[in-house]
Amino acid sequence: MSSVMDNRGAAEEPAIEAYGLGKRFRRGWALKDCSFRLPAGRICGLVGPNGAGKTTLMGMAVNLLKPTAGTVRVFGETPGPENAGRRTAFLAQEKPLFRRFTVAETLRMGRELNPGWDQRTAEEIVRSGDVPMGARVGTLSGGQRTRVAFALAFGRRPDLLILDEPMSDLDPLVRHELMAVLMAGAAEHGTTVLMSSHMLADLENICDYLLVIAAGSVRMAGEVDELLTCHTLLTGAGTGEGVPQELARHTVVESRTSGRQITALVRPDGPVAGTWQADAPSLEEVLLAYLRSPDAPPLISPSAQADPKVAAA
Amino acid sequence: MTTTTPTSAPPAASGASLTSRRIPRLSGLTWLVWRQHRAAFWTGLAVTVAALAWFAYQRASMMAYLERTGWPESKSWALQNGFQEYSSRLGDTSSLVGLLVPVLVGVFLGAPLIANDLEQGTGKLVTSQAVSRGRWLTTKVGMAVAVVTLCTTALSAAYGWWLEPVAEADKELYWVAGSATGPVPVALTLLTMVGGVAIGMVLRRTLLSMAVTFGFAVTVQVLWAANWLRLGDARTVTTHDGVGEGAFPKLPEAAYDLDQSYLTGSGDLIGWGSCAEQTEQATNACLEKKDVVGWSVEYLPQSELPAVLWTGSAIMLALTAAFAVFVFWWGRKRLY
Repeated sequence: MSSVMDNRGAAEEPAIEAYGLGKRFRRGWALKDCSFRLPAGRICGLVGPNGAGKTTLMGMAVNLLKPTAGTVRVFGETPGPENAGRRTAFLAQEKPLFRRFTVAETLRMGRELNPGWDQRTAEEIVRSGDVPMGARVGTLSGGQRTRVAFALAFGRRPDLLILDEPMSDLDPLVRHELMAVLMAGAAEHGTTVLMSSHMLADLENICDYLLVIAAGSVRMAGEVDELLTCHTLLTGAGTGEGVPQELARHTVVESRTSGRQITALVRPDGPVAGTWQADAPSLEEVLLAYLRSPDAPPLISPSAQADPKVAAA
Repeated sequence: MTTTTPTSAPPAASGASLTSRRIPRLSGLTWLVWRQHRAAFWTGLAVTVAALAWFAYQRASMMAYLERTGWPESKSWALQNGFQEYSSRLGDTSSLVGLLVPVLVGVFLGAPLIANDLEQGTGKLVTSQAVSRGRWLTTKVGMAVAVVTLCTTALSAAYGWWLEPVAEADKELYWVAGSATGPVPVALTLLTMVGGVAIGMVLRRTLLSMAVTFGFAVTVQVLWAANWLRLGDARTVTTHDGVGEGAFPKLPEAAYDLDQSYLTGSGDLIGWGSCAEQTEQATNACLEKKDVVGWSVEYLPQSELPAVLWTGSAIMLALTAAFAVFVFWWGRKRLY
């Protein structure tokens, strides 16, 4: 672990804290020994290949799934219909809504089922997209339906908003518009957001925190800035097969050789010897390197470290 | 069921807000469940009201006919051909109430009740609001059970009222039509519906669960039809006057004969067809040889019908409760 990072994150209240969390389905483990911590107030991107366990992780955080192993706490409590559940809003990937309900009835459902419902916020989100209140949900476009789902989520005034690939089926224009709705809502109410997405560019724009999982375990977690600063992209002349000697003392996440040129993403542990051109990697480069190299050691920043004592309590 | 729409208020009511305060309004989960299933619930209520009106009309026309024949002083109407029309209408209606209603309710209300939410993901939507899974299931199943109980109780009571004046006219009417009265339609419908809910919960596909529930509903009907008379406390009457013409024992009015056999001198029972020979002479020789001394007839007296209906309904309601327990257990443990 890099010693560059300070420990300030650990003092913040965690919105989600998972320790040794695992879920086994009939086909095997979807998520295994997953430990991380998401401090409150962050906009966190959840990244990973398809089938990495992202939806499973979210399902356990919102009490749709029961963990097979380990624990997950939301604001210090086991997810359930009580306090933790009241403070959490979840938007599933398929964005389920009652298709025969009108938009107004959908918001009424939010009002009827949630104490502390904020009708004004919900209506504003719907109105700002010119979605007619009397229209049936089944007749809306994908973007409008997502907007209604957002309104339903923000109307609950959640402290934690969990979104499973909310923009996956939308065109770039609508995606941009709804991202703005999401960011404005989160900023206005100080909502912690955990959002899975495959759109790396979107994540780079809006997220200040990252959680990367692959093959059912955590690969990287922490503040985007810190994760970026502790990586260096090195380019130099290749000397043959494998990783060059002078890089061996550093953590090499991924190295690729093309012709006589070698490119390596490393977590430098002290100054790098040899003649290398060092660049700051983009978030996309770091993410891709971790997703492509399942053997690279995981990187968990201190603020994202789960405390076993808290999790076990 | 509570009144749901403010539209049922008199038009003279002053102001919408005043009206809505006077009329009890559904709220919370009850509102959601009513809104989601309102088509099915309103259909059930409307069909029930229409059926009640039709039953009343049929009863009135039947009574008019009976009065023309001198009822209740003269009992001759029972045998007249003219009554055939009325008794067959009663018989047909008994299968509508006892057979069609349970199957339709099971297939169109029970099976999709939860399965559709699981298929469309709306179950996830509701349980990720501030609503627990147990409360959601209880409200859904509870409201469906309440509406179904209300409708089938009304249907059964109204049908019983239509049948009552002529129930004892003959055993067909009394037993076959009588099987759709009292608690039986309610119990059959609840069993089929809650069974359908359980099937839908396990299969999680609307159309598939509707098909499987149809099979389940038909099985319930077949088992009920084959076994319900066995629930009675059967009586046996024996005679010792031979088995010739006129020797068959006279059963009490509207009694249902379950089984009849020949009684032999040694007290054994043999099938009443065991001496079906070509000629009367051969038959008599056979009866002589087998020492047939009379008839033994097993029957259910008229007074047994209520006991049969209530015992059967109690069994079906116990099964319904078992299905309901399964639904809640599965919902807690295995829903997602």
